[in-house]
Amino acid sequence: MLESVLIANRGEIAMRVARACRELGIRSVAVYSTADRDSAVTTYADEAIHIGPGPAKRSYLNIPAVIEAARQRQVSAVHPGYGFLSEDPDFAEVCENNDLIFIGPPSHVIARLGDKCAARRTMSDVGLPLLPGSTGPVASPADAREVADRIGYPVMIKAAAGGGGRGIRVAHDAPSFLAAYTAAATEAQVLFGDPRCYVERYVAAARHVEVQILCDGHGSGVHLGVRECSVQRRHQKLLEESPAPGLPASTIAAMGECAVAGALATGYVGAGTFEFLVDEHGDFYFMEVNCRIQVEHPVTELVTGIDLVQQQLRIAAGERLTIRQSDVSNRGWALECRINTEDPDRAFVPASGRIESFVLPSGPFVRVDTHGYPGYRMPAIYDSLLAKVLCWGDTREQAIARMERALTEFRATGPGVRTTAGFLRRVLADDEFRSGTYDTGLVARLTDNQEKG
Amino acid sequence: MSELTSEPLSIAGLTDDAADTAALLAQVRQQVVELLAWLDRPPSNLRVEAAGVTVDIAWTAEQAAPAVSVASAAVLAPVAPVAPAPEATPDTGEYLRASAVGVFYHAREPGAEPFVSVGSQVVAGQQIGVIEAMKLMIPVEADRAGTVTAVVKGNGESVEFDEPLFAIDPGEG
Repeated sequence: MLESVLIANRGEIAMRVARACRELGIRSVAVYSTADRDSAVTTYADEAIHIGPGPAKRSYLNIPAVIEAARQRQVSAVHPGYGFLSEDPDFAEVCENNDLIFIGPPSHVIARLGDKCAARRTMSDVGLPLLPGSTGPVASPADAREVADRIGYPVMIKAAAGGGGRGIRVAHDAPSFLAAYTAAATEAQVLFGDPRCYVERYVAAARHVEVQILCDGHGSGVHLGVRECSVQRRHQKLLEESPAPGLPASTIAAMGECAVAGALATGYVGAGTFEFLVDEHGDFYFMEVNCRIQVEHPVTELVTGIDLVQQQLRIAAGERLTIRQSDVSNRGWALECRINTEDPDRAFVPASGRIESFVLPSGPFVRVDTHGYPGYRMPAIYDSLLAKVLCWGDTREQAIARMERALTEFRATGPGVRTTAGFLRRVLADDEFRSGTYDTGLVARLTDNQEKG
Repeated sequence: MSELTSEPLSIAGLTDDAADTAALLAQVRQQVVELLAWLDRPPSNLRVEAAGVTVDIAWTAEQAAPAVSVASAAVLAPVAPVAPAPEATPDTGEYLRASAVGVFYHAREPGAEPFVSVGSQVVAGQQIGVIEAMKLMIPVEADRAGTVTAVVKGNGESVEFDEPLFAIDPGEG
């Protein structure tokens, strides 16, 4: 097993990794910025090191600072969490070159899968279904237009280097295509320094369903079922569940096999996620690979009983997977609600501050992952995720009832602090959500209704 | 800066476009905060224009102390590889803190004479140490004129961001 791990992240995921380390007897070293001086992980982890000022570019995204911290504390491995440096192939490579085990896939795999066009081409070669569109980046607006005309409108224009729902535009017809393409390419250039885009068919009533995979460094891989992530606001997930309601077991199995085949074909190592789009006919199409642990990984843990972060650490230590595909079974239903410090009544603008009263739900089949505590001052310069509330139930109905109960127990108040807890309760109460027939348009329909009165 | 941060964005009842504008504003604000963090002293005035990209930073005359760099001559003088911190908390002066996590050195290179020692007179901007981070040599410069009253960290000692390195007493001014 690994001797020690540097946690190159912050917030709830830093706590999550530190806990897994504690359980496995691994020395954990937290890094923190000046803005996170008072964060819970700085006292929870075995050691903590101050690596830079508040702005992430000079702390959590500062590769020399993170590597220096790892060197000073003589750790054997680095866990990047999600976001920040987690999918930066340069960072993974610097770790590799400094005798540090990067807890994730090899740098060249991250580089290949991080380029959306290269990933599409690779998965197409492996035989994964793709939405009709360009196989690579389009060379010019005219080429893009040609692809769009061929596959038919509406189409989606996506940044090759994109992610997190940014650098995406939809063109509903030919006359609006050029404006949409220009907007996507400009945004891609500004956000990612890379204007390349690709074009694919736009599915209006789409569902976002993803497969969790685990691969060891010895050529074995398994999938751990699916997560339904269609409750999104502007491509940001708010609520996830596992399994995906209404998706036949045969479809889930087929998606899982595709994901494992795709992962093994690229030499993937560690925990990863294959994102698929499921259309109104129940057909699925490969979207992208996330080369990291994800925010919503606990819903998979609750239904499979497999600790994903511990698995990441074991795989990084060179162990073989002891889980065979036939061992993996889904039991019951799990839901996750992301409680963000945002104001749902004001277009979800960040509403952070000092959290004076902080009461967490508890009781049967409830799990809360958070870095918050009473008196915690939530820094406004980072992500607004405060807590993840998870519930398990024998059935989806039971899990929903538990989540409704848990959210009524949740309280986080303070000057200027607002959370999404109330909004999530509205989602849970919504007929479309309860029926399990929702798609990615659910939140927009809910907020539109709210505005109309 | 205070005007920028204390002025709440007006965002009630937003349309999608307005939400985009709010996101853009938030981004601009973040960039300004980052920019300010990079400056070694607070400006008296800061103007930012988004579209045509204009950044205007002004300091008052007294704030803008002349930055004179005086390189110390590298003469033969052995330096212990890792010396313990020579002195505890000084009585006077303020700390000059580490700008990066890394290894702190008193001299330009092994065997060279230390940039400064207790009692040295320094001017603002003078290099008085170096921090190595991933083979990158980051100069440590005095942030004010005065007398070095303590060298808090030993030569070759690992330092975290913001740890005290030197105490410098500005004296009478």
